[in-house]
Amino acid sequence: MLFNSFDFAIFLPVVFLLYWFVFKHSLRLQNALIVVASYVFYGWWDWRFLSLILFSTLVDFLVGKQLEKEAKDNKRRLWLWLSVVVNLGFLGFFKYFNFFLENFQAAFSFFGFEIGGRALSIVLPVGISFYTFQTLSYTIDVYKRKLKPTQDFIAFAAFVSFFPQLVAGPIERATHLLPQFYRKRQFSYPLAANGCRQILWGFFKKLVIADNCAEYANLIFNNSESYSGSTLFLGALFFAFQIYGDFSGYSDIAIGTSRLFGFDLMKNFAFPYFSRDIAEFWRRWHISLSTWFRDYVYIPLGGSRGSKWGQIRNVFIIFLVSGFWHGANWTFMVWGGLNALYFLPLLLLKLNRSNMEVVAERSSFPSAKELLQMGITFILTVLAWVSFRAEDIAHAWQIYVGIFDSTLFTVPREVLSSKLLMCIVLVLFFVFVEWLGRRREFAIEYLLEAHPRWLRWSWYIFLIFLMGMFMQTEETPFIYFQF
Amino acid sequence: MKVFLKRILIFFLVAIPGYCVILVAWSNLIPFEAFKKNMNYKMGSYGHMYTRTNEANNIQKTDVLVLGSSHAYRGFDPRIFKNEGIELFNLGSSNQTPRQGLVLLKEYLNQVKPELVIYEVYPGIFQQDGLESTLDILANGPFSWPVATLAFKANHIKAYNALINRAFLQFCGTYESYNEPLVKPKDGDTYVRGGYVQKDDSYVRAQRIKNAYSWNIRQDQWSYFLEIVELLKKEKVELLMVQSPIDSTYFENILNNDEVDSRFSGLGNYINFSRLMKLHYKEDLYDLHHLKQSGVEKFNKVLIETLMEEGYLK
Repeated sequence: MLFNSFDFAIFLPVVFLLYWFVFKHSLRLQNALIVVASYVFYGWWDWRFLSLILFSTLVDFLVGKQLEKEAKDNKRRLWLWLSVVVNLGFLGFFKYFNFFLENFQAAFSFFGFEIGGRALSIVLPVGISFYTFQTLSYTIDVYKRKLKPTQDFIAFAAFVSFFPQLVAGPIERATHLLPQFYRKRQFSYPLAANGCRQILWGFFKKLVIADNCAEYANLIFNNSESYSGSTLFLGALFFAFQIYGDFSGYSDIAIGTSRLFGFDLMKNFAFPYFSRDIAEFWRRWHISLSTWFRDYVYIPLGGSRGSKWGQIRNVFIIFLVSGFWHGANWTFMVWGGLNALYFLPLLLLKLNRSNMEVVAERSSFPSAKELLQMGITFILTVLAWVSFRAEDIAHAWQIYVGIFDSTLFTVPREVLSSKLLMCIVLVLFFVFVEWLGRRREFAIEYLLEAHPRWLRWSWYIFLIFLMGMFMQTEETPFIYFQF
Repeated sequence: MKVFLKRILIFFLVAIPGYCVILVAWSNLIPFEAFKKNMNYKMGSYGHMYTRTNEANNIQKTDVLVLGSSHAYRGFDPRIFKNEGIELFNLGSSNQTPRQGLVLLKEYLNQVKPELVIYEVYPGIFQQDGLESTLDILANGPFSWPVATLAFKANHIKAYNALINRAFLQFCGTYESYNEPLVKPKDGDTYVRGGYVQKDDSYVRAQRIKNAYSWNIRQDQWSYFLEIVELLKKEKVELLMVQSPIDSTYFENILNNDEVDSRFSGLGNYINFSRLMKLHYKEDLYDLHHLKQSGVEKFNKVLIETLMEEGYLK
């Protein structure tokens, strides 16, 4: 089920009313309702893949119990490996099987050997990369004794399948989300109202910003061979706003929806395009994934301790793995590699933690230096997005060559139109609102908070109007569903 | 919880009129079309539906009522029929599918009391969802509850926006006081009394014949069409289904003409004029399937002869 669908507009109020009115006296029944609702939500897309979620849930629940019983380290490690192999096995098969097969075949054929095997027609289960990592966090934390294993299967199943964040995150940690399923829930008006505001802003980002930018990003990337450098760069800019609006919009809707049910999910985006360096960008972009890799890959590898070469190796590993997580295509590896290259100088010069505060914390406008830093970081990010969006390496290369051409400094006449202007105005409006709300959890969280209700409501109605006037009229899936 | 639900309810009660107010203000005050993305059909837009509706509202009686898409309002010239003593009114509209045709027929059938309804059944129209026509009729057609329900049936934001804007224009009198130009040089169109729109002879739309393909009639549009057939049977009004002639090479390129013909002829009187006459793009048509005035004259002559010979009109 898509958030931006009529089905969800019916589904959400029904589940909400059942949750708070029919099942409000029993925590267990509320959790059971969440499981059922989540399975319906997921099954709406393809019910067959519910078996994968159920199997992962069963395996990790049982592994958790065994990890508690088992005292010996080597046996505990074996149980952990079972969970890792099962979860990553599913992920590897559905997401990476064809990629590895094709690349092995290509590598062997380069050396004159032909190996058999045909690519399989595999449907990638929506959200598998997200829930796999979430459930893995449980077994790893139980293994590390950071978390007591749960004895409540319903609560655990609800944790794994929690519908607001099941298919595209935020990827929750068991230590953060699972305990919330044990606690009696009290409806909180401020939390729910805040959730509604966040849902509204999420929909605005998706329907107005992402989907309108997508029109131009797709047009330019799909016909890249016929465009000038300036148009190609414009396409990359549009893609930057498309992916941000799309993914952070999804996260906002997910977090806002969770709040309606009394849950607090982790923040996933913190105004990343206002970052002053790449390290700050990565503290603000897809936070739940970045911190997952930091805690479960980067730190166990040694992190930023140890020798310089060790640090460099770790940075590359984390960024390449992060790129590879997004999809079975070398373009994602290049994207990860580029970000590693951007990040490395900051790490080596120990400047990677120099911008920890919100930009222009105590003023309305950034300083000239901050503006320059933000501009450079944004352009670097946009350039990296090219390989993320490109179909393959050759396509990415063709666009890079096209951008760094003398035509970069010309007017992008090929796509110049009043519709393009409209899209740019919408993006500028969006950036302005995000700037105003950059100190908050999400941009419109407390916008106009000191003003009377009629003014705040007028603002929300205006946002709804903008959606009605500018939304794309076809249902458009979220980009991160494919990951 | 109760406070939350109460506030949500009040918010929606405020938001709905609030949305309408902003939409109306935006649609009518912002001069740039690109900033009205989901409000793209307006009063007096393509096809002269506004003028046609105003004329239709004042007709007491006609011999022949024509329904259908642009093939209808560009294919049946009331002046030619008038020369033969036949009163014809053309109620076609842009991309009109049976879904909208049914609503218009219910709206005007009892008022104009035709002896014969000619339904132009270009199969390409039966392939469409009908949104464009819904928007056109909401913006320019008659304003009534059945027409408003077209928006709910389309269940599309553009249709709701068009309905809201039309309601506003209707109630504040702007709709009534509007004057649509009869000649639109940009489109090469001239409105002719009787609902017809004549294309300038010099106008040609560049088109190329695609690879061979088949018509694929949508089930929902077919069901609406069956309702039209039933309604006319009930009202004892004769129905003639007509496919006006299209470019002969284009026609031959369609793989399932026989199937389409047998489907329509199974419902009653049906003539596919592409089988009776060979017309050609640029000479008789301004694109592959819309007639120029010279083509209309040839086609209408043959049609009138058929109507007389077959006794469709007393």
